Amino acid sequence: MFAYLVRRLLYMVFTFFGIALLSFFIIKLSPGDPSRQFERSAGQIASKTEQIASENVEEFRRLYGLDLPLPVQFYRWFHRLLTFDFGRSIIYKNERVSSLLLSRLVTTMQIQLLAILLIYSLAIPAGIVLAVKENTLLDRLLTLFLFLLYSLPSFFIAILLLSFFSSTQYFNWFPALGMSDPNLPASAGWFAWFMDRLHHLALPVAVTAIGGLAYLAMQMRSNMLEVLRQQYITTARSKGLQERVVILKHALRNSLIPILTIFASVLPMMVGGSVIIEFIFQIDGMGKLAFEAILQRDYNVIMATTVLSAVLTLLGILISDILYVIVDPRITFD
Amino acid sequence: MADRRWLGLVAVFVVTSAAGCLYDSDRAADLLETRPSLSSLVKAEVQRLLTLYGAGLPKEDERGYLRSVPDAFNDLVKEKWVPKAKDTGGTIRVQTESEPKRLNSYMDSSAVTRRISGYFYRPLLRTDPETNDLLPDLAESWETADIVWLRGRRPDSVFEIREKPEDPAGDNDYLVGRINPDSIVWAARDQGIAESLEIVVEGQKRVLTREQMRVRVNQDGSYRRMFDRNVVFTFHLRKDVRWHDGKRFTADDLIFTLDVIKNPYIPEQTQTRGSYQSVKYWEKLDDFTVRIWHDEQYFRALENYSDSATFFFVLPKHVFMPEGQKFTEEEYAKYYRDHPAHDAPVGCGPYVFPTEQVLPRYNPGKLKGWERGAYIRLLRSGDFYDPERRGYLDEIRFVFIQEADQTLRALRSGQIDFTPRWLGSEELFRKTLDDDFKSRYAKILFYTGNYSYVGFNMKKPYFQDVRVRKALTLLLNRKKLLETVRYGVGIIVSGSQYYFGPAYDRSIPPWPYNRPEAVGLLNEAGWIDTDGDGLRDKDGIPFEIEFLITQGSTSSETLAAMLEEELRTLGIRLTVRRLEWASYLEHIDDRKFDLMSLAWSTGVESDPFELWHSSQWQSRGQNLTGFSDPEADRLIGAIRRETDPAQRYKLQHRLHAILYRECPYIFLFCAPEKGAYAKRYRNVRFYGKRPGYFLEEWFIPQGLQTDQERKRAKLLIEARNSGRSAAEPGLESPRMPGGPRDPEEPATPETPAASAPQPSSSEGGS
Repeated sequence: MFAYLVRRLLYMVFTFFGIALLSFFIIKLSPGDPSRQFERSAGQIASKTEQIASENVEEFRRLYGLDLPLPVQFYRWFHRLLTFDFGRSIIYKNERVSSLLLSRLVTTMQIQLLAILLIYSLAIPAGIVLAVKENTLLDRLLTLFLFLLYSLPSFFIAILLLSFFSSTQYFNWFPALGMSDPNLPASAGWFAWFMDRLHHLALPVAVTAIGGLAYLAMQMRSNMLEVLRQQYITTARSKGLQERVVILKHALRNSLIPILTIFASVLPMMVGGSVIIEFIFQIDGMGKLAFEAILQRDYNVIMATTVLSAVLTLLGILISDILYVIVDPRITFD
Repeated sequence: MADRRWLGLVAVFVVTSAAGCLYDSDRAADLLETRPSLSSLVKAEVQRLLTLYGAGLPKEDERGYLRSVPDAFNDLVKEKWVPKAKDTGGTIRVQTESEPKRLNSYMDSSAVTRRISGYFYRPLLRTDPETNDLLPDLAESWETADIVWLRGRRPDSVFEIREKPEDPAGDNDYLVGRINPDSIVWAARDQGIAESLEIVVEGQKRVLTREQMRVRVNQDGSYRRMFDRNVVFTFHLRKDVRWHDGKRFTADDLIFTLDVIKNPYIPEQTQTRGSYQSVKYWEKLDDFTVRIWHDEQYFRALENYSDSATFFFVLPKHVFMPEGQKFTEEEYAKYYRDHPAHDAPVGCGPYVFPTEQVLPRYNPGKLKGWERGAYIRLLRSGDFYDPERRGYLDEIRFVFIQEADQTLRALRSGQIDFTPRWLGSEELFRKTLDDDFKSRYAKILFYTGNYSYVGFNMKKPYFQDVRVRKALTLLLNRKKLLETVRYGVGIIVSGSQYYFGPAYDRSIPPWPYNRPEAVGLLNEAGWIDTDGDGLRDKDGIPFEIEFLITQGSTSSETLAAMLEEELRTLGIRLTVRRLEWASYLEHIDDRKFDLMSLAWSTGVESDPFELWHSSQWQSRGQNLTGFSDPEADRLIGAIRRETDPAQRYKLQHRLHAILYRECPYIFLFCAPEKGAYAKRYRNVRFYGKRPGYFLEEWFIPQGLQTDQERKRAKLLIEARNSGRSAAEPGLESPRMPGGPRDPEEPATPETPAASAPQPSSSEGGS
């Protein structure tokens, strides 16, 4: 077990290095250069003497290390990375990338955590019910409905929800954008704060959850069906156990194994956020940050978000492998 | 299993189309022909708004300036509303297209930052939004003086000795005074050499001769001169201004601001620094007088201390400079760039950014000023030094929303009150035809300085000949294009200045759509199909051009398609290449294009140098097309030097005529700003000068304020009054002689803004 883990970690280091190297060069070699944008803005109004402007572009390039040869830039960047220093953002006027990421991460995780909570708390019961009532009308209708949800693109759902539930034309129940009510006094207690947050995040969370909810419920249903066909379930039933006990005690545990491992793959999603949802609801999260950084070639921010999701994906895979061993005694690493 | 999948597909189709129809019920109604067709409704709406704008554009005043009419777009307002003291209070939530990176427009020169910081930071002068006249602000008065450049040296020269080939080594002498313009006897005017001139120095008249004076060449080499007019400014500052933390505003703050602007180690400030390049020396004459020396005559030099063009504002020295510490310029730049006050500014304007530092009476509710990613909030101080501009609304909140459809949704959900310019044609004319929207919001439409264009790369063989450029201009049916992409709303322009501004010559009509003439011009220019391949050619070069447009822009697509079709039938092949925005701009910077399309936004009057001077092609300036015309260059030099507006406008009109004749661009449209605001606001005016509105003019009649707003207004006034009488810890004792009582500080606030509101009356609505 231990030897396996060490080996896995070593592989991960190499994979990570490969990802870092590749993404660094892809981004650097794509057209568009922040210092060029800087030069443009500097020249817009009043650069009467161009040597002054270009001196400043040089200064700018020097400041962000853009004047060095690419391999040197990579070396410096990777070296700093090992000490968790992501450098400073170019578009966010010199703010530290790490603090920028942290503040955006908090926002994104609020939505994602709520969405995951919603997904699991709805999908698992739904999956169980569907499996138990296999081939009834309920099963068919609900499956159809889930299929429908799964196939609708999230931006479409978002716009529909917004048009109907946050407009005076129909029902103005939820705010169309933002994370909190600016008029909420600082003295309001945590409960008021929490309810306000829920009120604002209801629609984005719903949209985020819908796709995953449908997928997970279908997963759960098929897992459950498979387990229900096992012989030990028949044994349990023939022992005269109540159906409720059979399902919830004997079947549920085993059918949860695949679901548990899917949870690990949720990790990168939690951090990455969704560009589309964050854009539509005007929420300053990770997805929006990464998108804006790419548009404006803010290298440090792009690389930081890439690295973060790479690390988390790798970790997620590792965790899911470990989880397998823990929840299912039949699997070992040896 | 198979039938279920089929069923699913049908269900998806039915549900989505039903939902889609509900969502876009206008279009659905159109399809079902249940009411007058959508297009006729849209047309009527366009007409209605244009008429309202026309009503908002009354006659020009005696000087030829347009005067705005308050509340022109609000059908609830039947008569003119004059704000009364009791009408203070209330909030406005303004949609803002992006979030400032920092609240200091020297560090972050985006339009948004300038717009927001103008409410708490103040400039020395301000400009009238309609006439562009300079008015006092932090400086209550000012004087200007001229400089004559003399031969010889003086030890106390304020100008650094800059070695120039024209300057005999080390000459740095000069004389400051007022030149009598009628007394100048020219030897060679285009060489800048005067035989003699008369100058008044401290009341003494002096005559200078050619031998005494020296010739200098300006930075960009465009002209030579022996003297510069209006280059030394003496500003007399107001003595009654306090920063929002209670400290006094003095000349030290202005001196510090200039130190910061001229500090070369702050790369974020390059753009700002560029505007103050000719500033060579600044000195404090006393606590409230500052003199600033420029070494080059420029029509904008004085305007550059106002809220126009580059937004100039004074920074509080005591906030940004730790007491008793010495810095070199480089060390200070390092300290300054990371200063927290860039995110939590302490200003002196009519509105306060709520931070820990400001006086508690400004923010009794301890509200948060800046919620990252969401909004910035400013609070009315109530004791701004200019009683006319104290503002009425208690709070201005700038809400960050990037896209037009999100803006519309925020209006519909009631989360914002005003969007100045962020609705598209679709949102304004088609998506907001319902009564729900129209009863709550007044839609607006007004013109600021901007125009779009198609630019020729004049260094390419096809476009060197003016006849070809003109032919392409004649071939683009701009009227039809305007109809197609903007519901016909916009003005086709023929020059590069603001259409309603004084520098635009409205007597020059745009070139018409004229195919036969265009064909004639092409033939005349020698572009004829000689080898019979269906393409015109000249000197062996076939007429094949590439049109660079930005990805995802529908109006550019339409434009390109129209032009392509026109040209194809005449034997010119136009291929369209789409690029993502960042690389699009890079291609244009590198001049790697044949044709491209961009838009400029301008002020009321803009400096033509960047766009049209021939030097700005080589230096990668904004002369993107390679336009080069000796006459235009001379005119541009003269325009930049001319400080008399009336004379300068004449020169601008001459330049306009040259641009019209030479067709460096196919000038397209000046597009209106399109927005909406909640109907309870009054005294709402829109101006041609960006951003086009001043929220300190707006107010909500007390009867239309919510109970909450009225309560809050009362609380704020109480806090202000008690804050004044109680000894405030933040308020330092004045440095002036005369004991603890501040001579400038009135004993009791007797201002209209601070008087208590009277009970609400029926005047509220109509």
